[in-house]
Amino acid sequence: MKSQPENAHNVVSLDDFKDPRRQSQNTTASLDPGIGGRIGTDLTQLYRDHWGTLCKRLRHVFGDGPPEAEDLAQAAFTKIISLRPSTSITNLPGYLFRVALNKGLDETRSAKRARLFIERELQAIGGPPVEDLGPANVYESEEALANVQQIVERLPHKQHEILIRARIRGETYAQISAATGWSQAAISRQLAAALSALQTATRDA
Amino acid sequence: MTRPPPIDTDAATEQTRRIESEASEWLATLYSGAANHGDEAAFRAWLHADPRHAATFETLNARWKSLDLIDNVEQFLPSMDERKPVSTGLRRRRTPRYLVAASLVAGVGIITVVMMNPKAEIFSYATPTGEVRTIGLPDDTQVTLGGGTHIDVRYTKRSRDIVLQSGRAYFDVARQPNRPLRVSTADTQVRVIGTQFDVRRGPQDVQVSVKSGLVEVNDATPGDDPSLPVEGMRLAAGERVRANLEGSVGPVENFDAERSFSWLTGRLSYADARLADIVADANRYRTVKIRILDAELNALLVTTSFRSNNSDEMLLGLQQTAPVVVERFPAYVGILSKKLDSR
Repeated sequence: MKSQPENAHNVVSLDDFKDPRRQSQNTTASLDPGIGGRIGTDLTQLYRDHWGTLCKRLRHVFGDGPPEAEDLAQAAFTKIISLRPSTSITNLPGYLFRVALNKGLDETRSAKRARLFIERELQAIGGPPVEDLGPANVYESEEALANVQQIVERLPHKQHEILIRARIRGETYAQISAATGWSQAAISRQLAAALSALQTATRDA
Repeated sequence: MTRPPPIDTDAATEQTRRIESEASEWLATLYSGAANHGDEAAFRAWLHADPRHAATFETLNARWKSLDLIDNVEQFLPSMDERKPVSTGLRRRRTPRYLVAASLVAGVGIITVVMMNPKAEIFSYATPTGEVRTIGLPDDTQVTLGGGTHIDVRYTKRSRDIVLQSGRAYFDVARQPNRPLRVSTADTQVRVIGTQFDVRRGPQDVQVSVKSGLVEVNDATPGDDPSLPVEGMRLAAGERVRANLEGSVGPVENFDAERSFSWLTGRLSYADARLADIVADANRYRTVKIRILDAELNALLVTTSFRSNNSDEMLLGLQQTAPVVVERFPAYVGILSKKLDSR
């Protein structure tokens, strides 16, 4: 089933956001099925190139699980399959990690509950509807991302550890406290400070 | 046009910082793991109190979400392994547990990924946007997947389990009395007693419609033993039920099979269906998604029928018969309320 002509010029293409300086680090994967056998070959190659690293990163975050790194990696590859064949993805390994990571986070009840609650509240006041993680938010630019990266790197150690534990591992204050020995009150203050730092840079950027 | 009054810069900056600080506190509280209903209600009140609260929080939330795109973000975490006690040799896997292979099945559009582990074979099937495909499963059950649909199939000696991760699927189940088949999605589970039925996962509910045979629809509990008898709601041919995403099942309804299963042949048909559900279905066949921009339109009841690859016609018709305006934006198509005083 071919798509209608009017869809073609609006396919989300991330070429607009490619920074030539980072060109060599980006892995662009174009999943155009073309003739019969090609997609099979492309996929096998994708697996070979990225499966190992992806699982290693996920295992760093989640350990032996649950959730299991291989299950999450599997889900991420399946998601790639479900995209339109002509979608191109800049930074495929980053996208795979993002999909897998967020699936893993959804297995943490409290993180999932918080995420869903916020999404519903924002939707209720007329915010843009929430979508599945597409290849990238079309309004995210490399510059904005570089900003966020810098901000986080420059945070005091406690702040970036707490921020990332909460966001990437979905840890609650209680869990962070148990792992680090810091008090929940201190964790609360540090997390709020880290979030404020994120916003200040938004304004000044 | 009159000029806006001059802004008092210091006061404005002070206020902005205050709102940002409040937004930070709220996001932190909501993710603390200790937020209760009182906190949630207070947050809702804060969000609604001032449009700047909402705008600020949305921006912060977007930044929070984008943290996972940071290069090597996990470097900020101590590795899980560092904190765990050393495990015994029994847990170490010398050989890869998963043999991953990709192959072409039934032509372009479906890829089967086979994962082998000692206990079960797990197959994942996914269709791209806009593609409807029928696949035969290892037990000869036939599944038809709608566009943008993903199922995980896990068969063991004693059970057949399918998880509908997203989208919509129609099942024509091969009868195997000694091996019950269950389809789960969100927190709803359908137990099959030799039959043909359809499961759709929508934005806020799950719908199960039976063409023939009998199914039982349950609130799913993880780890159920498939051989135990389960108390559930039984559905027969021509009956349908909806469940919310937490698994609470609504009343049994009758439905028009021809209309409801027409998606199998490329047509989507609805009678008094919620616009949000229609849009969610249509979007599985579109690259440029439709978004409902005015929340009150989600529950607008619409009767319509259109080819799944031609939902734009549906939008044209909608503008003529409903109080809505359809507008094209760079990355999506938006549906807005038609205000009475607009030209």
